[in-house]
Amino acid sequence: MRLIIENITMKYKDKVAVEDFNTELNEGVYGFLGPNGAGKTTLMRVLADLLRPTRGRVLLDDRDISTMGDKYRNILGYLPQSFGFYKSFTAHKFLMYIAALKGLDKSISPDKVEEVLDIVNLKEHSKRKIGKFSGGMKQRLGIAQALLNDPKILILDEPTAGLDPKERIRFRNLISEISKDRIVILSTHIVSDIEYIAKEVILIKDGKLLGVDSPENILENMKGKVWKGIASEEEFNSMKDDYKISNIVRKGKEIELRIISKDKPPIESIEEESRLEDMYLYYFDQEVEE
Amino acid sequence: MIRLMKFELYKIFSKKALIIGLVAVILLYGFLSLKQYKSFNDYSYNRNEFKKIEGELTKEKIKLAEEGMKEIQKRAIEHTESDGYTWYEYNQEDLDMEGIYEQVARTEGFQQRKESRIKELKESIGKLEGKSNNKYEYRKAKLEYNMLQKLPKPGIYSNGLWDNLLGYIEGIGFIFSAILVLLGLSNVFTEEYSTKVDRLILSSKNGKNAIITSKIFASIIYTLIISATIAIIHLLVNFALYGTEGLHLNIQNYWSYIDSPYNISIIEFYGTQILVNFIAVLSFGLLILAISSISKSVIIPFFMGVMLYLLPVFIDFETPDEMVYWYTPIMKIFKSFYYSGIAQVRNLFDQFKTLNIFGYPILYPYAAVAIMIILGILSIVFIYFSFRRHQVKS
Repeated sequence: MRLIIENITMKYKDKVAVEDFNTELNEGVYGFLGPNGAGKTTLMRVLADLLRPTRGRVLLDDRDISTMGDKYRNILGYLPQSFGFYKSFTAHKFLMYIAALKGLDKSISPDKVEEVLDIVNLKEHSKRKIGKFSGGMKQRLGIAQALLNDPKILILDEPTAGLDPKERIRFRNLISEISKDRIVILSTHIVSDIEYIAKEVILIKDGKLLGVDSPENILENMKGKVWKGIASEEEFNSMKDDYKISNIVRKGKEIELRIISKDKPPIESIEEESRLEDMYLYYFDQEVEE
Repeated sequence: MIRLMKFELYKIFSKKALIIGLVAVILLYGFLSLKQYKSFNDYSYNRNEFKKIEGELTKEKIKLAEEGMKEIQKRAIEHTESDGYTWYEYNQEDLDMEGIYEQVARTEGFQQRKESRIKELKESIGKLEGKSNNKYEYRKAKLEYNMLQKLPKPGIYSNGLWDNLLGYIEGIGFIFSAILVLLGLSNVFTEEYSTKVDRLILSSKNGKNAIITSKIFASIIYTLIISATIAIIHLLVNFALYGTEGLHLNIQNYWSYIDSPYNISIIEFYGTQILVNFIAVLSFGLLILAISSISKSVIIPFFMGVMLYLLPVFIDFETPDEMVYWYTPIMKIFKSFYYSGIAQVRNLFDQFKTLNIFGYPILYPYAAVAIMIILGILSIVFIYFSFRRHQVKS
């Protein structure tokens, strides 16, 4: 299976959200990484057939998805960044509704609904009204509906929002498990969502493709750019506006700094092994959100 | 698709606003029915006197009514002169009898008008036959002539039961149906946008075709359930309060339709009234769905629906009689064929009226139903177009 994003541009009245975006995806997990407002959600909506691009097209096995219609959406699972439910519906009823929307056969729908509720750990709440759910429970229900039709292309936009650390780990493990024979697109600004499971990381900034590479290569490229050093208060104050600092730990009168820089910083420091979050700061000039 | 349709029907019926609206409509209907029934019982025809005149109109009854009317007028003049009271405050029994005698006069007047009209039409048909430049007028005259020929002579009957039975749709019923349709259907598409479920729907296999069909069918079934339930309850309430007397008689015996050319019984007309009202309200409901498909707030389809339905009624009601004569042909047609006008039904059947369609006279009821069907289809086409093309931008 091959999903090609070809010259996708999305323009609104006063803004270009995505510009000339090109990439190719096969089976596996792809992490679309970028800060808020980078254009990730817009791109996800184009892939989910919710937006018509101003220019460009998306091809699935050389067929334009805009002409495939319900045949494309039949193999799609989509978790939007922001979405809602019918508050008066129970979780079970809502998933049965989504199952009908996804064209699941009446005979298998109840079993599939039970299965996905179990996967996201909501089975004991299945008869509760969604209006009474917490934010995390709603997010898990959102993940459940995306998995209902066993999709070949799974698009998850900010999937771990509202999940506690335990649920995040569970979620990552689930994605790893199911990614063998499907395309999983994970759009996020949280590095830890993708750092151990993504086959490739696709970096987006200001609507443009910044780079595509495996996490290992990205980390290899970051070699020699991550430093750990000790600074005094005065040294820290003089450095903080000129250098990207990914971590600050106060140890008495001294401050231990993790600095991202091509050149060695002007304090006593040693080269450190890089992490994906260092790459985020290096490319996006923002601190990683946890 | 049936599963989806069941879900959509459930979503419509589970709206709190609809349940509140239903309760309000039921309470108001109950109150108005009891008020009407009390008024019917209070307004007592002098039963014995009415029995003398009730039934087929004869020369003896006409004479009895004429003489009776003269006596009442004589008493009124005498008492007005001597007591200084006005005529209308004087004698309730005389007022009741005046109503009965007026009914005789109206019925006699209708019969005379009908006979005169038949004669007129026969002459027109003779003159117009064979002339190629007046085909519409010829066809129209022939149609009216054939319809009037078939009508039986009207008689004198108590209109109380029919007043309530047939008066409901044209009085308050056409508003009740519209309110329930607005409450049920304004939100059908709008809810998906406001709850942000639209992004789950539109990215699913059935999200751009089957779901639209399901929503439309669910809306049709909803409207049908509302209309049928109201019709059956209203019929049963009327049977319980007023009985079933005279339902087999022609509608020309009911004062509102005394000039109607349609050869149809009271009970048959009730069925026709319900059907035409249902078609009009359904077409209106589909219009509301269409507006809902492009609105992110439920206020827009609801408010626009109220305006589109009630504003023409208000304009029609408030237009001074003098201004009516200024109406262009298009305005006259609009006046008869707006949603609420057709839903009231009466204007379509109370007189002989036709539209000229390519030289053929089309009776107003058929034209009205055709217009409602065409508008309904256009609304459906619009709904498919707008929802399929909807993009999630926020």
